[in-house]
Amino acid sequence: MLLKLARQSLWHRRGTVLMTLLSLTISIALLLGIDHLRLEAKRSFTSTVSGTDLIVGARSGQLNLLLYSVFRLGNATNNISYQHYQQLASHPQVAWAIPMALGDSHRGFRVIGTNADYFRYFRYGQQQQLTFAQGEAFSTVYQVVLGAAVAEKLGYQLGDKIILSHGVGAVSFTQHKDQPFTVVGILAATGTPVDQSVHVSLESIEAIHLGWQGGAPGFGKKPKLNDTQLQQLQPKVLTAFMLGLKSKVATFAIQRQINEFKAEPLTAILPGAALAELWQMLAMVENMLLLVTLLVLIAALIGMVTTLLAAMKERQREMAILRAVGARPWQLFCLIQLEVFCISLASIGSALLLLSGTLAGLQPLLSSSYGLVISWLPWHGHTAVLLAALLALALLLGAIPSYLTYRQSLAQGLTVRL
Amino acid sequence: MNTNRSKKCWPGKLLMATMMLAAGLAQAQQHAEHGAHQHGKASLTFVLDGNEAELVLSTAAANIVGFEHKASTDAERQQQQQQLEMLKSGSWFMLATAANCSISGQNFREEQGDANHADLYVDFQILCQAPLKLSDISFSLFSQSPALESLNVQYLVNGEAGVAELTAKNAVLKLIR
Repeated sequence: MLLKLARQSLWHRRGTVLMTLLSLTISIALLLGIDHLRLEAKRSFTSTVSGTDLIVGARSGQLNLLLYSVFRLGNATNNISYQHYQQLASHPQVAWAIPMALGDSHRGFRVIGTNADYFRYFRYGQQQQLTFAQGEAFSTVYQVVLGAAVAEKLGYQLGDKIILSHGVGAVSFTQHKDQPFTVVGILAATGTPVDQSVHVSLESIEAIHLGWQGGAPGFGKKPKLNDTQLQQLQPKVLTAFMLGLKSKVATFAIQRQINEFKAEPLTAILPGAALAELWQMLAMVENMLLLVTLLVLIAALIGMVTTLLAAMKERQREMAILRAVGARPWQLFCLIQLEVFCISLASIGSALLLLSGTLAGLQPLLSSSYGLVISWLPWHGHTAVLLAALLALALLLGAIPSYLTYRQSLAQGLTVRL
Repeated sequence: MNTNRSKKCWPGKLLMATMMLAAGLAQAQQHAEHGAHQHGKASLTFVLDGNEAELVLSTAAANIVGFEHKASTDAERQQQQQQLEMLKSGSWFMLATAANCSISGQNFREEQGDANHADLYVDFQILCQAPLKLSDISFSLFSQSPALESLNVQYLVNGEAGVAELTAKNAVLKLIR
């Protein structure tokens, strides 16, 4: 009965109510969106490194090393020698090691020089292994395995020939034109930066840079290598490598040993701890952002109360008639609260729809340009609590016009002033 | 182990980063390591896997003993003795009692850098009967070693890594569950 009254009264004033609804929808969507993106970005980053115990690179800060080696952000401070990689990979506590040589690219996507262990041991998410959507791992030089997003965006098929570029810009002037690569495998999508990567063997990296001097192609004709020479290529330097350990308890001990490695200044990091440090640094920004959104939301709620208060004058007759047909003052209080409840609930509903729609629309862009896979469902364990708190706040603020209506309906009764 | 490890070793390697594979071939030569030596700050790592745990503290000696030069008077010798015993005994940290943990082994190492600088390393191997109940570790080290101001912690508990900075006011390490 009350609900029907509230609904029809709202419908009667649909113009202003719609505007209120809109401003509430946008601010709720903003709040939920920021909360969702924050948590999803963390989940996405964490799942990328979940299977790796240590990452080793040249001596630098742990964040720098993490960002360039795993997330392909930024550049390495230095290279490390392949010989020391082999030495550390054969450490009795090390279960597996994945070498990485970065520095080349293909049309904006980074090239990783690695070996077959990458496809065998790399783990992401809940200990998931890399799988091939098509083809298989490279077995010799001049073969390339593409990440899912690379193949999709550039429209490559198995057997296609591609040219790698020197450097990591989207447009490169130095191309390894004389040495085309054949696509032999395409990985299944993982939702990690692996999707954005082009994988070749370490020997291939060595081959395309053969005859180069000081980081530029040497003068004169490059020596054409025959198959035996190609087989004999030995990698000399790496950018970084990932380690899996036999026992997690040894993690910090191995890290210490690598950090104190005498032959070369190296840094070993725990990817999880480095990420935790990153979140700690960003916590401040995150909180500021949440605070701003919260203020926007409160402004929208106050806007709603303002509209309700403004409507009170024009609704004097409505209230008087309701009183005349037997409505009690507390019922009028409930009526206004019910209106607030309806507006808030409708805003929450449309905010969730708006957000899911936007996320679903943005997903391809986010995943291809940032390597972030954001779920389109903005729902987490605490979202229900957040929304309940929001409703409670709305009702609390809504109590102001409701109470005034209650008071006035008592005081004014049925007196009709002309 | 820690993030602020000194980076001033091997100056020859401080060339600009070049991503080019032709550059910077590493040579197998020795370089001296200078770990971060900070007064007032120490670093601690804690790892728990299954029911095995290890806790390692590395710190400048001054943080624990109060001074780093060779003890010269009887009073100094006594103070040094007392503080080192305290450090080795493991009485400066307390694992949540519900986890029912006990220390199963301990190593201690002292490195005299030069006449006025020394570092201490102590590590404890720990066994826990109920590792899932290990919710926190509290540290009384701050009151036992007043010179220590903060403790940089990195931990790895059943695959979940984290960092924390503990101080006298906030001396409990809460572990992710």
